[in-house]
Amino acid sequence: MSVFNRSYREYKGEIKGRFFKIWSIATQTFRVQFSGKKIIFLLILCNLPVISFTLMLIFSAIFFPAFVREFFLGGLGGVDATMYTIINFSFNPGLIFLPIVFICALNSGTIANDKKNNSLALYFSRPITRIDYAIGKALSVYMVSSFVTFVPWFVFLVTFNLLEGVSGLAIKTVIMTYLSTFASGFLIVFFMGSIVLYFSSISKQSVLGGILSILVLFLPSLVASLIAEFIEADWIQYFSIALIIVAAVFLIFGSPSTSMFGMNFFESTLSGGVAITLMITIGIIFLLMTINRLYREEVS
Amino acid sequence: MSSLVHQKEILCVEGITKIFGKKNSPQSIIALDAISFKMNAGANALLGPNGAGKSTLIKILLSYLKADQGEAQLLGHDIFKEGMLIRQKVGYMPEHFAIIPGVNAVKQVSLLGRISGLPKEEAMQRAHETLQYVGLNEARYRKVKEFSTGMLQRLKLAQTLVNDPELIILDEPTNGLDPNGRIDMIELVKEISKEHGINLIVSSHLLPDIEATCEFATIINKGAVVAQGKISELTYQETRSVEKKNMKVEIRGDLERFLAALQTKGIPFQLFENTILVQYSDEEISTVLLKLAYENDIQIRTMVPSEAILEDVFVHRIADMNNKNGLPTKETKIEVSK
Repeated sequence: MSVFNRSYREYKGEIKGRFFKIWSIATQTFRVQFSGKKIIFLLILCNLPVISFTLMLIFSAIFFPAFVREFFLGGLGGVDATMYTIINFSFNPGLIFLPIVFICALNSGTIANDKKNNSLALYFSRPITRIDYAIGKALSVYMVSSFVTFVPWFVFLVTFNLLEGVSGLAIKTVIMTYLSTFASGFLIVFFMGSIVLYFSSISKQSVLGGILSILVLFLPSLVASLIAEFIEADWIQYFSIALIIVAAVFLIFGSPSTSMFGMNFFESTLSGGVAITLMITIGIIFLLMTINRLYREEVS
Repeated sequence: MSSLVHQKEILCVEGITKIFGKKNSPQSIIALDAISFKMNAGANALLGPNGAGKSTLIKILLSYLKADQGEAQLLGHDIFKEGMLIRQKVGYMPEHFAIIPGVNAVKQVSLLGRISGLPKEEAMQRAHETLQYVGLNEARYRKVKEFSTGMLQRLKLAQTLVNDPELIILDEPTNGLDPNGRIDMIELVKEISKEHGINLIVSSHLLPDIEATCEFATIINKGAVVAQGKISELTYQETRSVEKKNMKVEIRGDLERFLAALQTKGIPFQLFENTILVQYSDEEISTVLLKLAYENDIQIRTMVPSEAILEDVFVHRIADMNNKNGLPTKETKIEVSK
């Protein structure tokens, strides 16, 4: 029927299932959260380490082809060690505030804006459960957050493989690097994203949600550094978000040799298993708290 | 429960109770007090003063809230067990401002269509059609945040229609609209019900709008039903039952003199421009008025008893209930909830 005919048409077609509805919420929210000019600036800023490495790789391949092999495979110790080094650069204690600010700033309005605009009344009058809504919103947060984790990392890996080529025994290492990169990225995204999602659900003000999530992600590190002034213990390091992320990624990448030209910069001293367990547990707890909060939310 | 619902009934509520706060506590508020009623297929009005329990009932029907007791079926489905099925078949237009932030009108309606289970292309096509249908064709690509109140009301109506529901629940559909917008909205709602056979439950404070759009009315107060039936029957009963009736009288001649004569006879009246509204309880009033006119050399042009309107039914039934109850403790509590 032409849209220019003003009339009402009945619908007798198919009705899609639950996953389609969840995916619709996720993709629509992702488009809204990921729009605007400030995003490009933030993205470049947060991905500076990976952008630098990728550009270095491309220029080296064009002007000094021998350097690629010498620096990335010889100097850094292989594609897996190179990838781990890049992740380490992005999430080390000095630079971790960039991805944290990006993830918190872009996702703090995910549920807060819906509460502010009474969208919940529109969503919950549809045939979806509140869990479906929460999962849809969580997926959107994870998708947005992936742009400071595995999306740029994959860009680097693909560039690396295209320029360097893959042959023989290296295939297994390359496949494992891709899987490790995805696993590391997803773990970080799930951990941070779930925390931001929860704080987005507690208030109608997205700014408040953003500030609270940034505080929650930073405060433990600050407290730990203060405690460390008085007590000397390894467990205090588990309060640092940057250190547990690095420890988890280090284990996921199979504890690669990270001696950059003979110097051990990035070897983690924390237990990767404990770090992964902590990140998954905290992520699950915050996700469940978000769902619980949504079930208690009164819809006007 | 299934035996309770006949084909022509869209809603069957039995003993639904909802108490806010801790049960048996003095602070608890009884929003719905074992309410039972049925609604027929067609256009139904759900009326009541503030705090009557209308919104609570709608929230329970849409599974936003859980009832403490009772059972109910909407479109033949148990509201407590088949909430998803119900929401698949029902469109809800909330009273308050409700938008999906950051999107334009067509994207909002299309998203809500997809969440209702429509495939992506179909949802987009129907979003365009329903926006055209409600008169928002020109504004389809504008951000909904920029919409005026009237446009937002139309947008909310479009999103209720996108999944072709069997029943639409409209909460104050003419709220905040200017007179022209109100007329347009009433026409749309009437058309949806009469020409497309979609059942309606309309909750509104504007009783003339209800009279214009609905066939049946259910009036609730203090969580209980005070009147129910066809609006025409309710107003007819009201006209017959009231003790003091009104007669609309228009005259040609000396108005001052006629009014003075009415005063002398002790007949109460009110003057609206050239129409005199004479209050009477005696069925012989027309003879009395004709005699008065003859004596004062005045010609009576029209003399018709004025019919009760829905507002009269509403006001009197609620007043009757309050008088009967003599303001018990429960009523005081509900007043607090206002």
